[in-house]
Amino acid sequence: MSLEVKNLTKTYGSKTVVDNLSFELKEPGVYALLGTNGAGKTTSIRMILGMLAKDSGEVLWNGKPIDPMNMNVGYLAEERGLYPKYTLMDQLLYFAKLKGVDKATAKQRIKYWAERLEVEEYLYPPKKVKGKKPEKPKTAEQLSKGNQQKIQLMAALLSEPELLILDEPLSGLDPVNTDLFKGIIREEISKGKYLIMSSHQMFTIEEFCKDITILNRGKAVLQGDLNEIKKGYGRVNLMVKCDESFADLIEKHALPVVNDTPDGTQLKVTGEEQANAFLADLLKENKKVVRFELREPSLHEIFVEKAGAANEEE
Amino acid sequence: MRKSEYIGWKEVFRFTLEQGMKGKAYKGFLIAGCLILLLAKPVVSLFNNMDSEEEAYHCEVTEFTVYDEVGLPIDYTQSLADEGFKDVKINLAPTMSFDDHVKALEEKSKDKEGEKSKEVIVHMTYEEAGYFNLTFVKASNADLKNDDAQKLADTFKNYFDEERINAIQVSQEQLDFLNRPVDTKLEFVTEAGDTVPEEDEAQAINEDEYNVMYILQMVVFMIVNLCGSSIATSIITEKSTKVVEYLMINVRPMALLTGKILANLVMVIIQAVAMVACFVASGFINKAMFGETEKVAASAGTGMEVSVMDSSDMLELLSGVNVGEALIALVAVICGMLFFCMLAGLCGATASKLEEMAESIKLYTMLLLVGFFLSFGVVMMMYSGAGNPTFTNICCLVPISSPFILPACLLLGKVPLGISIIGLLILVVFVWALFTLAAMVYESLIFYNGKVMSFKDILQIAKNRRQVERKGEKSHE
Repeated sequence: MSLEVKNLTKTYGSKTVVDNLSFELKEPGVYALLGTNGAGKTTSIRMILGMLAKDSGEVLWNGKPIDPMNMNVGYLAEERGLYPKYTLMDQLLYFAKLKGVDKATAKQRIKYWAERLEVEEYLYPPKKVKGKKPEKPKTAEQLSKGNQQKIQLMAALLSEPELLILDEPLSGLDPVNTDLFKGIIREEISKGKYLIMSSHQMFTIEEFCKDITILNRGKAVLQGDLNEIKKGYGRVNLMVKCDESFADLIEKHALPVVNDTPDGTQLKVTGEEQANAFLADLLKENKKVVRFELREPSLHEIFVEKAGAANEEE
Repeated sequence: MRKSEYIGWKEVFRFTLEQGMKGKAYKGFLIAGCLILLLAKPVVSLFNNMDSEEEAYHCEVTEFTVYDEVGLPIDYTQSLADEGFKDVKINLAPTMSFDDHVKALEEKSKDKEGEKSKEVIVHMTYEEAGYFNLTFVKASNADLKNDDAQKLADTFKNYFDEERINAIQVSQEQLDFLNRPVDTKLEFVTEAGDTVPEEDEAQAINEDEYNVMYILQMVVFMIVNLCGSSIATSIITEKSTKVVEYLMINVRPMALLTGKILANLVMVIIQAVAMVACFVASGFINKAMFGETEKVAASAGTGMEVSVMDSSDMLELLSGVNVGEALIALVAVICGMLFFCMLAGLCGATASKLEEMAESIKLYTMLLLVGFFLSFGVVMMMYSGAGNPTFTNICCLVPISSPFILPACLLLGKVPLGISIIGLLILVVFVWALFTLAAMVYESLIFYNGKVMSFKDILQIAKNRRQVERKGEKSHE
């Protein structure tokens, strides 16, 4: 199976919101769509899912134009939505029915996911206790935002989709529920599913995604294998912490300071040679080195650099 | 409009119908409406019966003196023949003149200590201006309620009205015949000497026809209005709660709109059928409980009548309708509903929040009201005898008014069949055009977030979409 997005373009009036976007998912795993707010991530996802008409380009699933109506796609939208007044069970059964899942199977899966996501109490209120009024099934408006998000994820997973699109899946979740969601995402990856994920949380992307696209104002400003991208940048981030001040040595080597915190001083080097020369000098000067770490730039740094550079160019 | 655009409408229809019918507002309205209609006739009859069972009316007037200067051969001794006036002594040969009698009553009223009068006098004259004058007088401190004097006066006047016709020996039928309206017709003579009648002849309807037209219009208006606002609310709710994001991967916008419209139509039709059934059942219950007495119930002794609404006369009017006409009327109502519901859906989709609903459905509300008032105007003009056939025909052709007026006019034979068919075809074309417009813009509208769009903006979206489609077709070629 594979997903190919070719030259996707969408314009509103004179404004191009997605400009010639292309990427490919050849094997199971997570593909990340990154970008600043308004970069065109959600519009791209909507076009991939066929919700929004594209001006040009095509989306192929297994080499054929994608037809989300007739394939099994799960989607967790960025803007969460449930009917506020209807019971959660009714809504989930409706969403499952729209996906072609029969009622009995849907009920089984709802049971499984309710346990897995710890929302059983909202879907299955306790049966009548003597002397007490029976509890009514919960509606969406009675749930917290985080729990509504869990119900939404359930809705996306009910049809056991082959392609799962998660738009900002972890935003607004507490650390416990973030881990719960991450666990489920890992499970889906291990089942060989294809995922497209959009997020502003770069650490999460680094945790899951092999390939990325960074969008800025509708255009892809960086694309490819995340490890390769990082390698391309080289190990240019040097983090140093010493007991004594080493400002004189920084000046001597003319190293730009990126950040200076109690945790250490982040410097920009041209490569391993310059870093080694700096370390040699530190030792020569008898500085007590507590931390010396040479690493590739983080995705966060790459993102800020790319998005910032693109904005400056414009 | 492609078939694939409508995949999933059945699921949307089923869910909307189930949830809508589960709703407290729907159930409450249905139960309350059915109960009211079920009990309407028996309760009215029950109250009428209670009135008649109440103690018989007794007039407190003891003496009634008649000063007759009219001189018609009428036996006034029978003027107060009702049971309630049995103790009233009628004096037809007063011993003094009317003016003296009035003075005597004035004197009596000045005497605060003396016995209070229970007397009423009437002075009957024929005025030069050409009318009968009946002046009833009682003492200002009389021991009588105004109501007693009024009831006596009304009863006497009714008797006088009937008897003055009998006195000149004209029967009621003859009088009705003489009172019939005079119709004027203008004809033009051509050069060849042929007479050409004026084309427009004033249309008129009687009270029963007015009732049928009014009820039909109101029912269609209520159904359309309930359905339209419900669809607009549902669409804005789905947009504002963002549920639509999830729905859109499984159903296309047109399927969503179609499912919603049909579900709401079914809900409203269920309500209407249930209420009509209750109204009919109410008639049977009433008949079983009170027999055939519901049509007219007389209040004891006063001679006044209370009429109770009866649907049989109205149904009789529709008995001559043939299947074809009934079918055209039904299709016109359904098309009208689709037209206004689609319009409500489109307008609703231009808003992003529930607070913007009133603003977003302005166009729908305005067209609905204009259409209804146009058709109501036609009915009122006909009822006042000034119906203009050209105006009626135009209203039957205009798609915003035809859903309300066309069925009623067709069923009562107030519009030619040809005009009805053309009106229906125009309505179908407009429904189709609106569906096509919705198919072009609904997708863009449903994801639109911002200030409420105008209809001009909607047309602009449709234009842009068409250009993009044309570009796509060219690139495929």
